[in-house]
Amino acid sequence: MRQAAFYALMKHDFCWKAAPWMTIAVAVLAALRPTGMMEVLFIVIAAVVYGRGNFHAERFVGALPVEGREIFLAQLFSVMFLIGAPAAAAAAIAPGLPYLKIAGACLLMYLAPYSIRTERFAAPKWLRQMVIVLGILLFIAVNISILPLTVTLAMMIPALFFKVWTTVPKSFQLAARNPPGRFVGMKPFTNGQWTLQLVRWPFLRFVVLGWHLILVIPFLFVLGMGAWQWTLFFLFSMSMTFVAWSKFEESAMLLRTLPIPSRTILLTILLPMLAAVAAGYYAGVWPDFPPLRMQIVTITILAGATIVGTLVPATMRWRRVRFVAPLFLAPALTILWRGFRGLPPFPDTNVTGTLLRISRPVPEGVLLVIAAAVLTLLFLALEKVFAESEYAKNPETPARFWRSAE
Amino acid sequence: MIPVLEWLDVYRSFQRGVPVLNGVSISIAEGEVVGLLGRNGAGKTTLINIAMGMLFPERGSVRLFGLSPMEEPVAVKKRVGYVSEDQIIPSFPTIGEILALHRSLFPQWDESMERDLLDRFSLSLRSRIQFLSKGQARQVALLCAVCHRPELLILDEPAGGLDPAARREFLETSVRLLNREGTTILFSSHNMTDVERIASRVVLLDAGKVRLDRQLDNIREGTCMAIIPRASAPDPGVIAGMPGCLRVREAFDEWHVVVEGSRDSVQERLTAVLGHNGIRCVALPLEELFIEFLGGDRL
Amino acid sequence: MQIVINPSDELPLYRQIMRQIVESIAGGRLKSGDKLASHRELSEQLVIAPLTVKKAYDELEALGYIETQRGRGTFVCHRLPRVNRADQRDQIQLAAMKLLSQAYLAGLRLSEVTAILKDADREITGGARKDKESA
Repeated sequence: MRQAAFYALMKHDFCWKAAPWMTIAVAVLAALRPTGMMEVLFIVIAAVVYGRGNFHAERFVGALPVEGREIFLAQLFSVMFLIGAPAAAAAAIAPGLPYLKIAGACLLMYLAPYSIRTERFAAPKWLRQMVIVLGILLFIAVNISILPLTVTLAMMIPALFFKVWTTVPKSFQLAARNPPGRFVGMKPFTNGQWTLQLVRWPFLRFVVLGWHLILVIPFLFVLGMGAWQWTLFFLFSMSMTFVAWSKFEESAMLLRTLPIPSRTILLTILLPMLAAVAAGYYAGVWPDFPPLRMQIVTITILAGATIVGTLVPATMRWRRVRFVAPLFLAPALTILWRGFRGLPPFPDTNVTGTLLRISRPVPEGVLLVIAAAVLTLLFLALEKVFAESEYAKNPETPARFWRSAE
Repeated sequence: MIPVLEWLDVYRSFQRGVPVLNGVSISIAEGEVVGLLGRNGAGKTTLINIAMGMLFPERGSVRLFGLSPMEEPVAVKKRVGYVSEDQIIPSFPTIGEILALHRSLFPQWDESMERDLLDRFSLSLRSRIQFLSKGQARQVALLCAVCHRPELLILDEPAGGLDPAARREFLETSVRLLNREGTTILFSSHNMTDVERIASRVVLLDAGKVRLDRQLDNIREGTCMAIIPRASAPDPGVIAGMPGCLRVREAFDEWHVVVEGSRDSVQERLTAVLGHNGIRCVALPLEELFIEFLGGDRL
Repeated sequence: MQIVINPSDELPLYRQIMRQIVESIAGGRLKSGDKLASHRELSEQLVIAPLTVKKAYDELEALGYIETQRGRGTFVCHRLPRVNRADQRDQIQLAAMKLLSQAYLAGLRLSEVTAILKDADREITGGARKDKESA
């Protein structure tokens, strides 16, 4: 174990670099005494840890003169710093929340997938993507304290650490030491999606059943159920939709070269999402169904929001309407702010009520037609944007507006 | 003299019973420039990954400078530079940050070489990796691999997907390294012209085995291809049995035979044995050699 | 002088270099005492392995065309190897017959062949022997 190598690796780690910024951001928020503090901390840290990517090492690191243990420790310390510093800052400024438990839970969320298949360069891809589910489960456990969390953490963290420490190899491997009987893919770093072997239609399987899309469906379901009032959840689901759409676009790149109408491609991703939201709504209001009018209005709003949620990231690929996406940044930040204050996303949560009042004179049949028209228009807008999108290797995204590339 | 890089009877498979490397033994001495050739999927990348300690050989062993890359990765990798076609440099950091990481890990980092190459490739330290083109990212990888003055440079299709100018620059940097340090170079490539330019030795890998392992000049001067019409020699066994015959392959209605010896002497020999029946002897450029040894029967 | 190499040529690279250097010496473009590029310079210029250049130079040195002076560089010998003129003349006679038969089969006349020979002379000497007697 060499100190210089360890420090070099740690400084190079993304988590280490992000930690100061996170600490400042969390400290500022804590000073404003928001009520949604715990969720903020957890979601932000979880997202960074998850977004960190590979739980082990990149192949780039594999070519460097470092040992596996050095890499593991450097990563672990970076992540601990990323989790610990903001938690400590928040605890100092706004005491009274189980920061230690949150930090411990995040650490567990990092160690658990790491401890699987330590010999290889990366944990299985499906597992890395499942970490977000693990995070949610842990979050619920922290919130409702069903586990004796402290004890669990105190036992599991050292145990997992010990397991990884003893099994991590000196030099990470690309494949298993002894080949299995069944063929295992040799390339752990392709962007291919692991797909379920259920659906027959190949292109459906290709597009719809990627893990990112499967994850967004339950979120939309819960959103429809009424969780949209829970601001941070609302924002998080929208972000997931954003990500899901971006990933979908990557898979769609191939499909566009095939003789499939683009409308069909679009519908294959949109329909499951709309169905999830609608199903969530009905699951939420069951068994007392509100009047039909109310149903129409609410479903239109929910469905419309979902389509807009895919429309916004889609506009980033069409140069002419590139300006649209940054416009949404201000309202998004406002909603985020409201979330910290413990308020629902929209000032007048009675949007539904307002719309109902406006639509009272209109008979239900006409209302249905209007709703369908609105949704169709939104869909056509999406279709147009989808048709115009470009696939430059580094598309000029709005983020470049305030960063100049060399 | 310990060989710089040595594979000893390496066997490796990814699916039980289907070997990708089936008993490969190659030994590379100091200062050699070895071109590793083979069809896609022949096992070149696997062989190189085993040398870099990224794969465990099921049977056999690999040694760099006499050390095992899996047991002593630090000691080995300090003296090795590695560039691969699909090496993934993390996209978020800037070039400067990546170089800083390397500088701190390799004590023998040569700053003047770094500056010189950055200048030559027109790279800026502040560019982020994700915004570089493929050629530029590969240049960064090359920079990282050569600036610590490695004794051994391992290149896994380094010029794959690069335009001719970028490929030439890559070669130039390699030649400069050869001149300055006398680095041993192992590179796998599909570009025969590049191989012919700088390789001193060529190893052909096919279906997990070494088919040919010769000095390049020996191939040029000491082998040729005889084209024999089928009618003259209906039985390939006769030809294959002749001394110096390396390979017989069926092509349309002729036999393509790779034979050791100069063109004129081979022509004489074959004519003596088979008669004056339209036998031609032609020179064997590397690309043709590749196809003769590794092409399927359909070619 | 500018050396040009072709990696795909059937002649090995070192022989291509040797041939061009010998041609230059023969044509007078390289005179006795002229300095040749070092291994490093030539290999970097042509983008080939330095060992190849070294091999070429070693062979030329063994044949007596060039010599290496330590610390000073590689130079064309002052006293070039004496070739047996009679042998060479026979070989050239054979080559000439081969050349003429090929030309006549292609339908060329002697005057055209002579013009071709003059062109070749110009290329090898680079015009350096303008003042010497013509064919």
